[in-house]
Amino acid sequence: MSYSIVIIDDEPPARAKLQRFIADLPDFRVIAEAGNVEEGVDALRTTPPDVLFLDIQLGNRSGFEVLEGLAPAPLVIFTTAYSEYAVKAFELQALDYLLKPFDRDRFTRSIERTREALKEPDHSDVEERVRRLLAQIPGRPATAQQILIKDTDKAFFLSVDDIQRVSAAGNYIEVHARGKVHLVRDTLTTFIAQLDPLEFLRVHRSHVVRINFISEMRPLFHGDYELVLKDGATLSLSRRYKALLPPAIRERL
Amino acid sequence: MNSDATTVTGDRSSTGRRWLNIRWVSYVALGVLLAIYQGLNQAIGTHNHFPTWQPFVWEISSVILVFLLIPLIVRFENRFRIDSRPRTRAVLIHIGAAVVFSAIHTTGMVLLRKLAYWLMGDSYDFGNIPTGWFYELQKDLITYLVILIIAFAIREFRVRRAGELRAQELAAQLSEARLRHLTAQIEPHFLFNSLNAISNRMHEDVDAADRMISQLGDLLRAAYESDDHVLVPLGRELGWLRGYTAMMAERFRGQLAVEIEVDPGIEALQVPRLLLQPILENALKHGLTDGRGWLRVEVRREGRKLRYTVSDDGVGFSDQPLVRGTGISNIARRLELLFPGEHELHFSSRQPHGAVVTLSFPA
Repeated sequence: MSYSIVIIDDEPPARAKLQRFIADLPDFRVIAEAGNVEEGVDALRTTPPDVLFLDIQLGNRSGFEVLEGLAPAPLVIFTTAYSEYAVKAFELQALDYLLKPFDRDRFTRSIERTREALKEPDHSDVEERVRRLLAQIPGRPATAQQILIKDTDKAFFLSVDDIQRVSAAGNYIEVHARGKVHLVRDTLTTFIAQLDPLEFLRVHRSHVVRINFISEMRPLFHGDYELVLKDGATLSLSRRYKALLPPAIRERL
Repeated sequence: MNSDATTVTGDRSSTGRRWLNIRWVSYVALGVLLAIYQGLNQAIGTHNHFPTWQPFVWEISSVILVFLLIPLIVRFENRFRIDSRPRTRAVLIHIGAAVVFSAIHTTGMVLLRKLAYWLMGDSYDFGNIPTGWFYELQKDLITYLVILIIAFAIREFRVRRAGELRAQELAAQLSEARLRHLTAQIEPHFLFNSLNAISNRMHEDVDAADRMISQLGDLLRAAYESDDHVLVPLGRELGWLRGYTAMMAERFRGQLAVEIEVDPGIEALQVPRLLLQPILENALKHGLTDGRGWLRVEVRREGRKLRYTVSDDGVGFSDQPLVRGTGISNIARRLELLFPGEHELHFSSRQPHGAVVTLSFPA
């Protein structure tokens, strides 16, 4: 069993270098490489990898573009020559990145971290980090105001302002809006891609909540917490997700 | 530009020294002319009563003393300026100084006259001393006041001119600094991506990696050039151009074709430093959108002018309103500062796609 990798970088020598480093790893293999946004999007859709090495500058376009609407997202290791803004964003979201030029030691450290992350059965918190990162990128298209909901018997538009929380329930998701629950056949990851990540927080692999719908946070054991919502419902908040809460919220609660 | 400025300053100070000498010679000549004029006047007015040489002795002795005392008065006025505060103090000091001036002037004048008379075998009589001194004092107060006013006017004129010169110099320095600021430097992205490409290339071809390092060295040298001349020989600019395109061709090996054509024998022409950099960066950024493309740079001499043409087969300018990046608008401003009204900067699209940037300036 080996993990699959896609490399997206516009410079052939940069791709060759990653290829050379990866060739020495027994448990990873490169399944595709791409030199621009379109090829990258193609590669990720036809052969979704476990790990993605992504250059954040592809010609005059941004590497982040290939991540838009990608679900489930692979583990991403960003590679960048120089971008103070992007590096700050990565650090804030605790995402892994390689600053070019990097040597084999730095690459190996990144791979070790990736191995650890791949062993975890649930990568939804990493997905959430990428979702937050994308939300901070300037010039991003505005999120939807209304979402088409296909309920069990009818289809209708739901105003995003009405949505209070979304939870996974098997092959369905429950959309809680103004006290009503709509059952929709969708995955949580694809559904919340339509929502503003700064307004809706993923607090658990199965729960997404509107920030101002949280009323209280109670500590449980082992650093886990319980969130009390304004309608009285409670959700558990694991350590991994607590770390993802914006500092302003963590301190306020 | 810097060394030119230094030369100008050097010239100015040596001109100043020469000017100083001319000034002293004219000062003495003025004194001699004034003495002769006054003497003639007196001689004509009194020629029936005195021998002709006597009026000349009176006037020349007076003028010699005044001209000897003028520099002292100017220096004294510099020390106690008439426009200083409190005003009463300045007025009192100068009234006192005028009386002292008159005393020295009259005494010196009388001594000179006695000497001249004695040489001519005659004797000079000043008459009643207090009356004579009071008579001279009236005239000397006016002389002193005139000297003061002229000294003050000359000083004010100089201060003002120095201020204007400094303002001009500042303006020159400012546009110099502006030009230097507008001269693009090496982009961090370019530097780090190049290092990354070298770090890979050395595993494939050590000689090629070596070449890349020396090219990168040349580029860094051009960017950090300490003499910072605004104009450089075209040859140096071409060295930079070849290094830059070679590095890009290496980084996009197999995907980027570069052609450079230069008219022969024009390498010594003076051109603005690193003017092509933003245009090339732009062309490569948009010309390599899908990671593939070609780039062509032509440098041609057309009469008195030099023409750069940079073409690529990228997205061109047609599908979007022309948005000038900071690099491109910097070029426009640099050209305007260096060659006001004598340059051209032109953007156009190629068929079926791509962009052409042409610019020309006198060289």
